[in-house]
Formats: sequence, structure tokens, C-alpha cells
Amino acid sequence: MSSSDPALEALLQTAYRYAHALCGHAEMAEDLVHEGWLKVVAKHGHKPDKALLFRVVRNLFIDDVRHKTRFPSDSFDEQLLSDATGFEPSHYASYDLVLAQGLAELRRVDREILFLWVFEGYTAAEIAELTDQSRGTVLSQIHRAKGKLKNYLELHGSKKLTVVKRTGKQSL
Amino acid sequence: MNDQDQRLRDHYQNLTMSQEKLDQLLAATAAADAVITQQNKRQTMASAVRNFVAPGKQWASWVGVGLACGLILALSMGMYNSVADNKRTEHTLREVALNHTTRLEPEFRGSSLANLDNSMHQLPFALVLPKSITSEYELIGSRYCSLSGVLAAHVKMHDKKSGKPMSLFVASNADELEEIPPQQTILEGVEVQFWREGGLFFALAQRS
Repeated sequence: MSSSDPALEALLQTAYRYAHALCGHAEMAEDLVHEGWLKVVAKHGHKPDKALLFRVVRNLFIDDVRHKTRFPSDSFDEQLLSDATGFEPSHYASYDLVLAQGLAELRRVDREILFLWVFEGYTAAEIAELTDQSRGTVLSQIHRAKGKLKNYLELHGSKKLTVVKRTGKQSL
Repeated sequence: MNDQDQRLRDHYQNLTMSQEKLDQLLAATAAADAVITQQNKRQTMASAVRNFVAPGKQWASWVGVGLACGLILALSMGMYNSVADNKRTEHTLREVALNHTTRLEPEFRGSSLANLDNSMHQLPFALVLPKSITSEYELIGSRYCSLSGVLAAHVKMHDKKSGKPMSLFVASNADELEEIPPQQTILEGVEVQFWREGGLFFALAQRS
């Protein structure tokens, strides 16, 4: 099954990137996609519906954040750590460390907006529908998020520092 | 496209779910698919069973509908008959009152009932006076008439005590008159009385 459905694999990888943009954490992103996808399958079958899967993943993430806000834990295991604090080679073919750190500095809404706008190519209206905001708000958020990331990159060096997966080690 | 956007695209393009997790997820999807397929099969079977059983249910429901329609029809017919009988009674009352008030001349004259009976040989019954008429009367004559489509004898007489003219109607107790109940009614100033006696239908009319 794993090699017989490339469309499904592509959908799951896209959902994983979106989940990562939301939470900034590789393992949590995997859990979000896992739970979200099984919910979609149980209710709608496994038709590749990206918009539906994105919405389910987003709702799960918001629920999780609310839960953690309501019931905070001091346990180290449950603390949300950004991937930017350490390179996890199982999740990256290559790694733009400065950009990853810049994204980690952004608010969750800024990361989400930039992912949808730049990587997924969503229109402002589509983002507005997914995030339940007005199109005008989305446009101003895009502008601000881009500006913040630009400032970070200018401040910390715009040169791309890449870690290549095959070495398995960070080489800056 | 600026350099920053390109770097963002590259960043997310290089970000992938681990193969181990992806395999787990695909296996879970296959398992969920199997469960859904089983559920669909069960639903299909259930649907097939329902369709198989449906004609029986349809028959039963049609029987129910038929019974309901029959009941409604019976009630309607009962109501119709009741209304029709009421109309027939009212119609006969009016016929009797009208025949009494119109001053139509008798076809046969005579003071003897036997003579009148002999004259009215088209009547399918023997013309007799009912026992219930106790007052003294004087016969004037008789004529043919009809009550609700039934041939009847209209016997004109005179009440010696009150001096008022009286009309006695006699008809065989035919189907058309069978449902008319015995009664005594005043209609437009005429007192009308219906009753049955000796297998005949009688009506008596006089000014009240």
C-alpha cells in the first residue's frame, strides 16, 4: 500500500508540512497528521481532499493548544520544543538553519500564513476561508510576516547555511 | 519570486514526514479501509435484505391503507345514507303537507271506504283505515298520489269534531319509505304524522 498510492503519500507529506508550520515541531506535526488523517478516513473515506485535511489538522492543533493552556504541565516531555533548537535528520533532506530559526521566531499565525501563501500558493481569500478571518486581515498578516522574516534574515545573515542529510551531522 | 520566498519553498520542500511514520500511517489507512469496506458490505447486505423484505412490508402497508380506505368509505356511506334518509324524510314530509294544502279535487268520490278501494284498483294493496284513527270523520273522496316515488292513496276526509279537513295517505311499506322513521312534525302550519300499521305506511296531515 505504501508504494502503490503516490497521490496519498503526497497529500500526507503536504499535510505534514502544514502541521509543522503550525506547531514548529516534527513529532507533534506527525501526530497531528496521523490523528487528523484517521479522522478524515473514518468520516469521509480516503479521498484526497487537501482542504478538508488542512482544516482537520488545524482544528486539532488549536484544540491541543487550548488544552495545554488550560492544563499546563511542567513535564519536560510535554513541552513544545521547536525543531529550530536542533536538527533532526530524519525529517530534512537539507536544512536552512537560519531560515528555520527565523520561522521559529515568528508567531504561529505568521508561519501558517507564509506557508499557505508562499509554499502552497493559496490566495488571500482561500487563506481567509481556512483561518476564519477577513481577506483584508490576511493580506496585512502576509505583509507583516514577510517583513518580520526579512528583518530576521537581514539581522542574522541572509546567507543560506545548509545542512545536508547524507552527512547526518550539522556542518555550518 | 524573491530569494526569501524561494528559501521558504526549499525549506518546506525539504521537510518530510519520516518514512517510518508514513508507513505507519499508510498501514493504518489500509486497516481503516478494510473496516470501512466491511461496514459497506454489511450495509449492502442489510440494504439487500431490506429490499427483499420490502415487498412484504409494502403488501402489509397496502392492506393497512386498504383497510383505512374501506373504513373511511364505510363511514362515508353510513353518513351519506344517514343524510340521504334525513333528506328523504324531509322530502316526504313536504310532499304530504303540500298534497294536503293544495286543493286538488278527488278523483273518486264516496263516503264508503270500500267503494273508494274498489275504484282505486291500481293500488297494490287493499285500502284500509288504520286503527289509530279514533276521531269521527266523514269521507270525501280519494285520489292517486305518490310519496317518495311510491304510488299512494290520498284519502280526503273531514274531522266532524273540529270541522278541519284531514288527509290520510296510504302506501305500501316499500324500500323507499322503509327508512322513514315514525314521527309527528309540524311543517309550515301543517301537522304531519308518519307511522306503520299492518304492513302499510300511513301519513296523516291536518292544519295544526
